[in-house]
Amino acid sequence: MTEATLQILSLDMPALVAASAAAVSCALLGNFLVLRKVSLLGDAISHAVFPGIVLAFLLFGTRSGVWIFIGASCAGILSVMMIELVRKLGRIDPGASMGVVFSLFFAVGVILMEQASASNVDLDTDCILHGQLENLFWLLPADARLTNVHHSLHLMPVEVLRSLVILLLTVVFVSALKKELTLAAFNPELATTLGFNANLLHYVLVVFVALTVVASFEIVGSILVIAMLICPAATARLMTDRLTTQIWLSVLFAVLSSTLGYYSASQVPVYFDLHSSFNAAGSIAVMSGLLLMLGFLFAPRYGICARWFRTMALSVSVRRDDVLGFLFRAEEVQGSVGFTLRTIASALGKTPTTMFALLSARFRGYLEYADGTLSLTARGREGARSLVRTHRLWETYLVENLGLRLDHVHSTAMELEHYTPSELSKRLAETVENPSEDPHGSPIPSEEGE
Amino acid sequence: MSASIDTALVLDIISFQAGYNTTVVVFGAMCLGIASGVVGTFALLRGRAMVSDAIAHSTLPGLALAFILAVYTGWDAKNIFLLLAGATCSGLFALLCMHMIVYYSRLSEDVAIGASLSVFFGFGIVLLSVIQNLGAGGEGGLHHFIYGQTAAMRGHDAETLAYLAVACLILVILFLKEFKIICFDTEFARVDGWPVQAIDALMMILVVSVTVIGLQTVGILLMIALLTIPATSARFWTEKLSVMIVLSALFGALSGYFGAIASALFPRLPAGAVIVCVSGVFFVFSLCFAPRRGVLAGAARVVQLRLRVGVEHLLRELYERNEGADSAPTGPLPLASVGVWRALGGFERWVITQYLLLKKYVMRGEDGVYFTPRGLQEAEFLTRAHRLWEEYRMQFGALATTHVDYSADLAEHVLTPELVDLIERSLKGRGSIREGAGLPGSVHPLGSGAHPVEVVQDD
Amino acid sequence: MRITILFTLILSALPVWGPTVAHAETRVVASTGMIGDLVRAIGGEELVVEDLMQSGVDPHLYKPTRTDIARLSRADITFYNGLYLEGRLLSAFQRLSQAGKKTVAVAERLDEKFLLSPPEFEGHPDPHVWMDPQAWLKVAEGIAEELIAFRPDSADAFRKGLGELRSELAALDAYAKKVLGSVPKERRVLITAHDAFGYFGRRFDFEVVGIQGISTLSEAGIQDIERIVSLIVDRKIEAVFIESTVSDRNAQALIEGASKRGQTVKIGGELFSDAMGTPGTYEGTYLGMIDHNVTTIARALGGEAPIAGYKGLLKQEAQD
Repeated sequence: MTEATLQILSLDMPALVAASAAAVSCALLGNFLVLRKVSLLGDAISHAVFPGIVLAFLLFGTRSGVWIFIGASCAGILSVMMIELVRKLGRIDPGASMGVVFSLFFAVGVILMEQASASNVDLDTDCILHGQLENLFWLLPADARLTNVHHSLHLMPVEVLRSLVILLLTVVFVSALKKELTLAAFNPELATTLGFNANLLHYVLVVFVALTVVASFEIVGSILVIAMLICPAATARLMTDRLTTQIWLSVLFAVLSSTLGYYSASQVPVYFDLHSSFNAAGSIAVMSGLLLMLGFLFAPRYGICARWFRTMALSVSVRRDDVLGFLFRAEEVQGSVGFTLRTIASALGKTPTTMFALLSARFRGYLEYADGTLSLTARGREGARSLVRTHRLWETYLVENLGLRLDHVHSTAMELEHYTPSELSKRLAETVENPSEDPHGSPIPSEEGE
Repeated sequence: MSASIDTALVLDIISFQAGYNTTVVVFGAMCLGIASGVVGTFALLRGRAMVSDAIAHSTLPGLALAFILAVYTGWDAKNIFLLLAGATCSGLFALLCMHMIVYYSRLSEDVAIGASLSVFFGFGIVLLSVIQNLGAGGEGGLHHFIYGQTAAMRGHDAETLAYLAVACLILVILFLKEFKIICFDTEFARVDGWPVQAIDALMMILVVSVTVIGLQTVGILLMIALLTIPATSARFWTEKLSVMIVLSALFGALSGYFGAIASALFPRLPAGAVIVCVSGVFFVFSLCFAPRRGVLAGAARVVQLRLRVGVEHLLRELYERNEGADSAPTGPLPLASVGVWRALGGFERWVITQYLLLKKYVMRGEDGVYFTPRGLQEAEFLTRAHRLWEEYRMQFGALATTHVDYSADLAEHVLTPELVDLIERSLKGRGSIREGAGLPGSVHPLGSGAHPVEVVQDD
Repeated sequence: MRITILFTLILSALPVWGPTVAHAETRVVASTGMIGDLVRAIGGEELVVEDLMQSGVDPHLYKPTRTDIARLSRADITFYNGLYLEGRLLSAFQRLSQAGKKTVAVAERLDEKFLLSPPEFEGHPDPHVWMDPQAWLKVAEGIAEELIAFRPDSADAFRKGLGELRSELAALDAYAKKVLGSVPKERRVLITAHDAFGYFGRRFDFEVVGIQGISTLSEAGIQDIERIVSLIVDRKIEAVFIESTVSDRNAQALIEGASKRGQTVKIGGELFSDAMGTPGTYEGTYLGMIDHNVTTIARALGGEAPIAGYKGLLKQEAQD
């Protein structure tokens, strides 16, 4: 085995497996937290475990091992139950409930520590509860290497196994309760009528989250957990409306963030000529944030770009209609004429929208370009006629049936004409009894071309 | 520890006459309580109670970048102004990100806050891992470097906090109308043409300012607590924004005042944490005892309603038992044969009896309880209401006989005499019931088996 | 299973990290600069000594990176302080020793009587042992013992190194005794931002008052602050000290409080507590760090000490 492979096996693989497993567990649960608007639960728990740690230290006199974990878990569970209780009893925003409960918990922890004069013992949560991803390495004894498999496996960080167990439990939990959790999150009243207790289910969810989160804190540290509870699920939510798809996507993003984040933690410093790797957990959190940003910008339906593009397309099509209408009205007055680009642009606004509208009209064969002027094609004239007809029908309708003033109707009709399907236009004509002129005295073009 | 509290010391502290540091901290904590109470109200109402937490965490990367910048340019790396400038910038940038996510995506406030918090803090941790290997030295505790300690507040810190409180109050008074409309009806405000985003941004910048200034004087814990707890407590007492702001500021100020006093009276009581706990006491008190929104008020309403419903069902059933007889019932009431009564436990029976006696609906006789004229009248009214409602639902709601009883069971308790009269008139107008008759007949007389309540309670 | 495939892909893409070196010499990694200095003094010629943390870094808060772990996994011996000083590295050290690597918690080898525990929490001693040169000498002896056991063939060199170190530390200790002894007895109160000077106080007969505890989450109460202010006023203490790793706010509050009660107090200077000075300077070494602390404290509290310390190497501007 080469040195490089060995190093990857011993330094990177355990950390990467643990990070990915923890990330996926958190992302799975995060889907439901995001739905219930309690995605900050991870952060709240990370602060709220402190009194549990102090108490465990005061009672059992140890700063490591199982008692600290039990103390932290108890405080975590108690805090999430209080958060649920306060939220429900007080009928307040979950965020407010979290803020109240976790800051109180933390304050109690600080007071406990000072009152017990334990502040001269370093009781930093970061040191005695939270794990470091970097510490999960699998160092084989120099003499044994892989020859003694049993001994080698024994040296494998137990945290890796633990993270996989947590992952397994989470998968079981989520797949067993997915339907109920979804319903309880979207529609608690319906859930109750369907015969299961939505309230109880919320408690079950947050308690499970608390346990998972505290256990993951111990393996990979707090920042990774907090980020993974939020970012992958949020990114996935930008991508899809279906919860099942969202859950699968969140798993994908969790794995992507962990691998890319871990990889860049050791590779990016090289480009900056730094001598030391980055903190892996922080780097993974940043990566999940970058993925969220990409989703925010480029998600197919809900992304900024997609939305911008839709708006743009709409305004181009409206402007295209305006171009056609403008040319048609000009023809009515002056007979068949062509307009230069400049004239049209100055009439409809010298904006990129107008340019795109002209291009699009040209591509659709509504306009022809000859001798530096633009004029309507037969096809364009056809479209323009029905547009102008609709416009004038609307004006007639607004004045005669709704009694609006004559000078008020043009702009309204201008907007309505773009959204009036031909069926509606027909009914409109029937309603105003097929007049031949609109209230301004302009002729209403017939439905069929002459 | 409470063995010997010096009364003179207590008086000194309460009247700001104790040691200089005590006075400064008590005063400063009160001012901060006011400022964050006021600002916290808006954060809460906008569904962003945790925003201060996010901002506090988001200062880390700015802090670290400022430090790195200082190291590379050779400035003093522990220059507090440089570090604070960095921290403020990244706090504001995080706020901008939250703002963008809230306004330009489908994600909710809590996700925006949480995502900014975790990503910025994660980036901060990455930068710290760079700094610790820069070989520049002196990075130790950069994270905690800008966090102040409440008890170590100085005169000019307290002064700053006082100005901050005044500034917050002035701004809020100036923009009260704008803030109100954003807090309570964003959609309406948008449609009505208010610059929603700008007002929202102003509000949140206020939150950032208080957070950043507070962070360096009292630290992260107290800052988050003071921005959340007083506002949430105030929410229980009122629906009016102006009252809520005043109450929240009051809770904040009182928490600061009493917390600081407690910390000055007893040894080893960390000032910030105690202030948080005092505000927690206010919170629990509000949660329990606030009228209308409080837990006790809610529970009392539920109990009261249950009692009334129970009593009214009982009265009606008793009345219906006696119907058909020519005269008012004279004998003791046949409680034992009434389904509603049989379904009750001993305590409930006792409570209901006491209630009936208290209301003078029944009186005790030799061998049981008897209707008073008043009770009879009430029972008749209830029966009338019930039957009219059933009739009304059948006539106007076109419902079947079997479907109206349950609704009438619910509605009879809330029908007022005026409403009953109105229903009667409209039914008479339709000719559904006869003019001038007494009580309308039941649509499903006793014993017909169509009475759902009866069926349920007989099994 | 797709996860496994992904791993495999990513893993195969990872490049080789770190140079492969022929293991001719003994590689030693020391967690902090303070320990690294000792190891270098004892066996500098014989060993390749690397410090995990740069000299100005606070070991309480140090988070290991992958590079550090790679370095640790290549080391033959690892010396670390222990007593939870390197809180975030503890499990790494444990794992190393499970894999058969030699790891030594130097402060934990010390005799119980050298360790100071908070009275309520026996068994959770203060880790800041290096503040007492004498105790640190014991630590050095422990290190030498371990090195000799590991490389018996170089025992003579190690003993020679230790001998020189012993005389150096003894001289430092004597100097500290002398200049700190020149501080009037009633003024021997060292008021610092956090409680890191317990061993220092015990060795040089100083009363040590920390405004906040060791834990970064610790917070002072108002009465505690008032008590320290009263102490300053009653004992007419002229200086309080700030630390390189803790904000100076607490000290400033004391100064302001005392001045309102008519006692002028100044910042006596910045002390190095958890971390040493800038790498590459005299203050960036263990000797320089202690020299700086001792000289600063002695001069600020009215004792007599040469402005440039006992070797005349201290930066002058630090002295005012």
